[in-house]
Amino acid sequence: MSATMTAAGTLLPMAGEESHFPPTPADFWQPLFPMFSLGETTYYFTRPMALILISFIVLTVWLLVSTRRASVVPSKGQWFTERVYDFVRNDIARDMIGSRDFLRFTPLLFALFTFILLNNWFGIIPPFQNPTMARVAFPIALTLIVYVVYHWIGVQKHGLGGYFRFMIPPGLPSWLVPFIFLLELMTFFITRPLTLALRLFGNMFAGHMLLVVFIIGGWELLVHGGALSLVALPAWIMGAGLTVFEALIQFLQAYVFVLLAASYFGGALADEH
Amino acid sequence: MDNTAIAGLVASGAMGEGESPPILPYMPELVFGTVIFLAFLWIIAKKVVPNLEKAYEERASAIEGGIAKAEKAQEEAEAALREYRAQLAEARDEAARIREEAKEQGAAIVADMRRQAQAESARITETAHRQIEAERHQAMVALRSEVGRLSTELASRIVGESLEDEARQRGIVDRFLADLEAGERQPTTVAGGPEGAERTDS
Amino acid sequence: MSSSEPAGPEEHTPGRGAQTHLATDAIAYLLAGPFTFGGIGFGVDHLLGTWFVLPLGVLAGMALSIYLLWLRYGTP
Repeated sequence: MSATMTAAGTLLPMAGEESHFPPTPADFWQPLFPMFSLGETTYYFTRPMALILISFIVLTVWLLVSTRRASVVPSKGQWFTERVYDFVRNDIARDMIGSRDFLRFTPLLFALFTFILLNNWFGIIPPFQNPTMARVAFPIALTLIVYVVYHWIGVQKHGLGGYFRFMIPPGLPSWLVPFIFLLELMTFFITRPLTLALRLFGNMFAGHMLLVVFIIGGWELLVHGGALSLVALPAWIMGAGLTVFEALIQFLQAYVFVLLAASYFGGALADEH
Repeated sequence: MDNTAIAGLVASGAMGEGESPPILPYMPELVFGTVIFLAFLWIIAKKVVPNLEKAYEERASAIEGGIAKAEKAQEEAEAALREYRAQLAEARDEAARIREEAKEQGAAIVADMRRQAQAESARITETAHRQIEAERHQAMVALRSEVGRLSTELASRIVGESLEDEARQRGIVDRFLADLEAGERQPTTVAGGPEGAERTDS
Repeated sequence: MSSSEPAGPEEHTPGRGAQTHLATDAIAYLLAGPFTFGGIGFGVDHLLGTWFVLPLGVLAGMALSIYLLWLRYGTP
């Protein structure tokens, strides 16, 4: 596999770039320019960082412009913003957290949803075509913020002692308590946030790989495939279909991330446990 | 697949030391992503959501105000209707009462009239009676003088004696009549004697 | 964003958050058990020069995870 790739890459350098087929995880490493060096290592400003910045600017401008003069009778722009906001506010936040506390969390959940959704859709929107969340650092950053808030409100609600006591379910044989406590600790602080971050990351990463396989693969077949170049068309049709599918997945992952964040907040605020 | 991954790592090795396995976060990206997201969150929480919530609240209060206004209007309309109905019922009662009163009054008037008519007719009858009485009395007085004259004339003719002298004549007649009324003298010579006695009895 | 929102007279509808993350919790628990106790086993193996504590730890972790899930969500 790697032999063919390097062979193709050396034989036919496509306009100075090396071939991207088959896609490797290394394809996601796209440094733009070095920022600074610390000792031995040089830190780069990467393309996903540029995308994050672009998404930040686009979202900020959109939201500020459409809500600057928010009025009782909405303009078209405000109406659209309100639809998105309503979805997060009522269908996610109020549903998951409950009508008493949800308003405190709507800014965070709304920010998460719009931010993740646009960055996910960057995966299929030309000329970006790279889902930012396929770089694990960004889902982890968002998960960290969610988890700081999650534990903060949990401790606030139940007190530090009550918060840890709640980790030990009732009806447990006493000799098992230390083991279970360790297990709960791991679950609460490591695996749960990890699954939240990795679900988003994994979906974006794998989805992008899949699109790359079909679209770049179709190109490779067309250029180097000889008789197999006939297969390029079905590969592209497949790629187009998968792009639509991917758009849905990208929306769904943004929704799931925010839904789970809201459900964690709701769980931490729930009265009975 | 391992091969390609390693090949990818090797190939990108030339690019720089920043390369890491995809499952490990690249620190600059982590820090940058966190900072950018916090800035975004700050803008959302300070500018966007308050504006939207304010619009929502205003909308809700506008709707509530509209509902309250409509409710008030309806209440007023119902109150007016109630009042109108009450007035109508009152008017109807009043009319019925007035009709009743009028009926009573009418009956009273009719009774009164009848009483008055009866009284009137009684009075008229009495007047007529009295008049008749008076006329009879008058007629009797006239008749008496006539009878007196006739009888003296008759008597003078029969007696053949002139009793033309007025004074004597009146004196005789009056004495005769007084005697007649007193019942002391029986009318033996005069024809009208028994008639006069009969009349005084009646 | 103050918590003193008009939640007074109208009744409070509780969120469904506590039940919803059950599915993801299950994955988190099932991962946490083997990882934690497998990790402990790995450390013990490394210290004592043995080889069998790691698989034992993984198995024990799995068992504990399943037991905990049953205890938390399986019992009424």
